[in-house]
Amino acid sequence: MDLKNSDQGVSTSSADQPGIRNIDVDPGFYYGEIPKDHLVLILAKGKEIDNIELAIAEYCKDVHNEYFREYALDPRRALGLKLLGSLRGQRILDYGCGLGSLGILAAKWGAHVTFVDSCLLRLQVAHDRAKQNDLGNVQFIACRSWQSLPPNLLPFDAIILNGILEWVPVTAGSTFDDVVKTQLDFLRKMQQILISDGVIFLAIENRFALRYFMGYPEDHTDIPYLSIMPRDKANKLHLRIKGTEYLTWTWSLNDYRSLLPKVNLDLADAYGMFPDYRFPRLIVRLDDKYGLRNGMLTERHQAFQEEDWFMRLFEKLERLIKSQGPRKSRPPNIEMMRLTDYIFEMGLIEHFVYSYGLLLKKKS
Amino acid sequence: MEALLRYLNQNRHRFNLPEEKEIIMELHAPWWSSRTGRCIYKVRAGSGPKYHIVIQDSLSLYGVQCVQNPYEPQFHRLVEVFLPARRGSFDLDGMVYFWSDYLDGDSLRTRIREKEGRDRWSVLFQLAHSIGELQKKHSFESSDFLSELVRLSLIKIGDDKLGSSFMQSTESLRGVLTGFSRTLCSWSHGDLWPEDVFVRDEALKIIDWEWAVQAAPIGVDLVDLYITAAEHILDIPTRQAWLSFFANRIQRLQILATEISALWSSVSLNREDRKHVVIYALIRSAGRVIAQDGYDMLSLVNTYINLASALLEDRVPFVY
Repeated sequence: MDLKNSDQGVSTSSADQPGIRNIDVDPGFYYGEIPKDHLVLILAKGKEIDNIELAIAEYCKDVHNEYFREYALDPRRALGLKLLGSLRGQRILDYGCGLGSLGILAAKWGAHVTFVDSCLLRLQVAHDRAKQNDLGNVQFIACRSWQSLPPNLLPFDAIILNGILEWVPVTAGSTFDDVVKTQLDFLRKMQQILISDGVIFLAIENRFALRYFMGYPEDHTDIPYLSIMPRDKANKLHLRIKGTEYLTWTWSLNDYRSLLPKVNLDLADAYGMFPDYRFPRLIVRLDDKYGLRNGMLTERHQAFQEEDWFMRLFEKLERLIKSQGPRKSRPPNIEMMRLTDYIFEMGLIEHFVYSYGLLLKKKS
Repeated sequence: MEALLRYLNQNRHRFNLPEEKEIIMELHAPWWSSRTGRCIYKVRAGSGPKYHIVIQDSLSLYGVQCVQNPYEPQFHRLVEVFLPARRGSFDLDGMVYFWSDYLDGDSLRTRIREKEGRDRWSVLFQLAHSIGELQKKHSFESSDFLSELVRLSLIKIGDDKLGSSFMQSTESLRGVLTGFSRTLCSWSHGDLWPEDVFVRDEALKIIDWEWAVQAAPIGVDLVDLYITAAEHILDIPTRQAWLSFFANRIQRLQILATEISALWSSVSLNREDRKHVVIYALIRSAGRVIAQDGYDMLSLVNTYINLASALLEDRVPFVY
């Protein structure tokens, strides 16, 4: 792919994209794992060869970006959806669908999927993937936040929130003082558009993941120890380092238990996802202590080894590009394993897994 | 997963799960990313580490349907000796689930790679001999072996464009295979490699029969076994592995090559027909690659096609 010449005829300025209903999204808005012009190029190439997935694969091969390839294309990313049972005929909302990695597979398994995202370009990728796979059971809505979701949406059997809840205060323009309120408002809205026995699949990092106690940078801010600090102290640190308020809050298991009933939701079932919810390879119920320990000891350990290779390269490049900035610290594996055994013996392991897959249901 | 757990609870006796212990289920992704890879439910009873059964559903994570021939009575009787002792299938919420005892021995690959000494290879040769003998016992004349492979490949590819790509790229080779002078067939596992073979108490059990067919040219599984042992135990690249097989150049695998040769001799296959068996193996490999990797590995498909052409045109040595 010619990455230097990215003006390939894909519109990034028009508010209307065929097949996508744009409620209030600025067509120029972009967030993502690769530069915007690269995604534009991928979309153009996908149209040219009538195969967006091949275009993504070729791009990743050209730029040696295995992470993005797995993020966008690996079907194992949807493993968590197996927790929902058979999806055939189910009406599903994939809120914050991104490139459609989960929703496309749900549609292939027979679900009717509504894709929603605040980035038109990413939604376009999901749309083109659906088209490529001849999926007629899909619709696409671009909207800035849940507050502007169309009022006439039919209730859903299931809602996918994969790595979404922590970003809600940012997209809603919240302040530090109303982060929880915003997150609860969002969950309340999701609850309202769910059928009475429907389920929300919420996948997210754990605020008290063991790795954070070991100094691993908090995933959304890159600041070590941030999520495990008291929130006000974390905010001060965030303000000092980033110059903005700390909004991307993750929750602990006890937070979910205490906060969800406030929005008429129950924690129906809870799972640990290993090595993490983005690239799950093993999913274990939180009441299966042995399984959790196994997940943390083996899967996490393997992921660190893979990550180490990537991180070393990344750090090297980062140091070449800029001589300053926070250095990524990695928890030593042996210490991690010792601590895992310790919290296992104490019967607390479910509180320290790295990421959760939670099934939320309407309060009965 | 809740429904599946409920089903297991209600049918404990069927799965030999102890009544008094809580059933615990783990959800595993396949080791390798593949269009045909399915999630695996591993089931334990009680909090101990021992898995009792393993379950797979009939839809790959990518949405491709899977077929499981060993669950057909007329098929599994033939290969009973290689299958887990207890296994079965059931329907739940419109999905078919296949289950079997959990095999917790070492895989053949692990056993050979991690053990010391020359005799670690003997189990591979023992496997090849057992498969060869059993396939010979069940062999029969058939001229319709290609249609079963094509049908299965297209189901597993599960995509019209990719399917036509498979058909186009293998068209001339499939034409060649109508020229067998003697088409001796037998059942075939279809995707045999050392990670699919489990060794426990000297018994050899084989899993992942999703590419199994009732009729394939005799000896084709042993060709697969040779190539995959070269690739996955000796770390020889694919093309090199095939060329080494053609010329019987890998010292470690010479007993396996002799086993293949002996099988073909025992059923009186001539040199051209032996070549045809290898071409069938190459076509099947191409189908598997397209089904598993979609567009990502089309270069490997070309490698298979080129190897087959080279073999047909006598551009490479073939010593069998």
